[in-house]
Amino acid sequence: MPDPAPITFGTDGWRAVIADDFTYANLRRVADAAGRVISSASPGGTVLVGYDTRFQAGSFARAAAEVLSSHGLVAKVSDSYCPTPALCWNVSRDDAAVAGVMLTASHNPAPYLGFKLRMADGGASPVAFTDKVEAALLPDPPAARGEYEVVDLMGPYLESLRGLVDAEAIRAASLKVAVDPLHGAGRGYLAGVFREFGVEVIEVHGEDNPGFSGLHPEPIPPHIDDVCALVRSRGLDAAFVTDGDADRIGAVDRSGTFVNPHRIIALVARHLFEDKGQRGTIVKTVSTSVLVDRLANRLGIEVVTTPVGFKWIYEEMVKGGVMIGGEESGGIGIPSHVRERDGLLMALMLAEMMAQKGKGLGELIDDLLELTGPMEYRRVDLKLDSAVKDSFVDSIPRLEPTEIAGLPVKETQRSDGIKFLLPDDAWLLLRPSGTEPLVRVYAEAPSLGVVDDLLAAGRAIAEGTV
Amino acid sequence: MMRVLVDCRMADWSGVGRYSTGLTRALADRDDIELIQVVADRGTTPVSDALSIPAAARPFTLAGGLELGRIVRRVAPDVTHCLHFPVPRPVPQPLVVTLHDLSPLIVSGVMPSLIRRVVYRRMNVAAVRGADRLICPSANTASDVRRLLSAGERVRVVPEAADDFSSGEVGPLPSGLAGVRYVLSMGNTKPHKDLPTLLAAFSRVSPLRPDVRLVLAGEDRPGYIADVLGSDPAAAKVGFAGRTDDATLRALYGNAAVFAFPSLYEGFGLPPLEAMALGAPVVCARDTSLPEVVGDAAIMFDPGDVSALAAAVSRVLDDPGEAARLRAAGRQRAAMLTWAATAEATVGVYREVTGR
Repeated sequence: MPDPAPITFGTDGWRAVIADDFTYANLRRVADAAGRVISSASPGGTVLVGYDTRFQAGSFARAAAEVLSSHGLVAKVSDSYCPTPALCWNVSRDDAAVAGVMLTASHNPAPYLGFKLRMADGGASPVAFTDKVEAALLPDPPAARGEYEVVDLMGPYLESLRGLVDAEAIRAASLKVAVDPLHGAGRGYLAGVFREFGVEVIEVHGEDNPGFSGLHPEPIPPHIDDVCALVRSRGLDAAFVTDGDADRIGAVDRSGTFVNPHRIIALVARHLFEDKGQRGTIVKTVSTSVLVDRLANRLGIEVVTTPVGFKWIYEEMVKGGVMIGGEESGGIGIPSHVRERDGLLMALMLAEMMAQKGKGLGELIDDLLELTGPMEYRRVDLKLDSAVKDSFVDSIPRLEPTEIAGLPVKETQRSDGIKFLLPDDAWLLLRPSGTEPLVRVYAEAPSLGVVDDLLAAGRAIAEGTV
Repeated sequence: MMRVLVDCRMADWSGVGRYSTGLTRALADRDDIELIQVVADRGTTPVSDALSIPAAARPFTLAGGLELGRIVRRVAPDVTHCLHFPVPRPVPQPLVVTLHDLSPLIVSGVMPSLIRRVVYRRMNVAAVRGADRLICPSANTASDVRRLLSAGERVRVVPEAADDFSSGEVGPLPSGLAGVRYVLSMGNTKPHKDLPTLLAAFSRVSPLRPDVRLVLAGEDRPGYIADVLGSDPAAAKVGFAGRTDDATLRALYGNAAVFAFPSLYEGFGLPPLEAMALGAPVVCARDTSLPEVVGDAAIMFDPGDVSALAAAVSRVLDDPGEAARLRAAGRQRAAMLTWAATAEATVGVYREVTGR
């Protein structure tokens, strides 16, 4: 008999290729381990189970629920596919819920599926918890099966979303938008809420297609090219794009131009502060645009900068006092709603902003840049030989350049990779991947020319040619 | 779910540290608590898996109180629990404070400096005035807190535990102790620990039992034993074990023929509980909180009574049946006190102040 497949929990759960390592046997092993760990801490507690639109995700979810309930837990499975934030919101609002399980591989390509664990507040499970689950894994799938309930997770969640925005303002604005769920778990839901609000909606990639039409369900170019073209050809006001489990957001303005998540974080933060009277810190990651810092400075808001990864933002949310947290990938969350990213909520916030101000996203960004000054941002991913990458990683503690691309280095930070702060708020960040022979190079500066110079300098540093 | 902020800045300390890690880890295991722990940013003791907020300033300074106050305002917990008497500034509500003992105000010599005693008293008074509930580890300490600090009816008694300590890895004995019969005690030479009474008792026990040694767990205090015992030949059989880690301490407890604890004042008395949990027969003074901790699972003697202590130690050394009875009773007694139970009772106090 072959050895059981190695199962490890990464930053956001266990992910594997369906029918390769992601099999019913392995899923049951994981659910069995999770069930034992959860029930030992919280005997008889409720575990909510959600799933996205991937191949057989619902069937896997029900299989997981059978195993979880065999440990004396009350397992409740969503009656339909749902976004990750919907599962998390329900867990956080259900006093009996001690954990959540989401069957999703987020933005990964179609062959993948994953098993995410969520804690009682709806937030991601800490490493200490997933370590316990890994340690509890048995080599053979469990034979025991229990009963589970089927529940409506989407109804209450959508109702809460409706209550967070000004439906009348959106209705009065007669917006025409495209919604692109990329065949993922936002399918039908965001478009449905918009239609209830009187918005004219064209939904693309809204059919059931576990192959994602060959796209990666990630709300960035080139996967959003179809919807950008649609906005231009149909003269729409905007488009909103969500990823495979609808926790990330991408947007497109009236001209069909991609609105990057940095600008979405800044726009929504400004909206929450100025228009909705919310207070608290903004949490961003080290790779997020300085636009956010400048905006916060103008508004008198504190900014907390964390390493890359939503788990760091989540930790700040648990500490309290956070108004909004977001990262470069488009994962943006408002903790008063749930301590998790929520692509649907962000789309509704952007639409509310457009409606209340009577402006398109492009104009809102112009207003923002008028306040903050312009900044340009780019990122490149350098694939390097492992030896070159390792050499770069080894050199990080010793790197002390006084000048980069002709600009004097004001400060060097090493909280996540190495970041050089330069005049005029420009910066260069190099972050080695933890798992691949890859170094991500980010740069931001007042002009694209300088950004390109910085990226070239970053490449030279990573490759060790300077 | 109740959001609780716990001040664990003193987790590196000995007694308060044991309490900090034991209670906090048990609270972190509960699903009705969202726990956030404030830790010293230079601290080395891992407290629990709960989210940590580092604090830079020293706990006993004004800066430390103000920093903790800022953290409390940010976290906005349902309840703040200070695991020792330094409290946040301004004092948040609701606030629970644990007072472990008042030995500096009760036992002469524990805190010789008058100025420090005045500051100590003021800080404790501030904690008592600010706290909605006070937790003491024993009824005896609760009585002291009511009597000396006018704490009224806000004091609750929640015993501590040793199950986390006793379940850890047992290391090898320090060199030279393997196969040796020894009486174990703690090497704290502060006056209220009353080591002189133990040393005097050992000098009476030793002549008839030349194979038995007295081991004092803790760092060597050069000259201390000679100062107390002078030219008594028993002095040659007494020694400090030196700085020991927890694994070594567990080995010392587990292999001891007797654990003798002559302390004149304890707020709780974790060492005899740890000794019982690891199977050492316990002999301890019948005073302050110790009878509450050991129950009827130890031989007790009147504090400071050399003859009675010598008789009790001799009885355990000479009577294997008595030693076995004490070992079994001690394990049984220790099993009744767990950090999970401490956490359960502590959460009960949180519920009192939050009304949830």
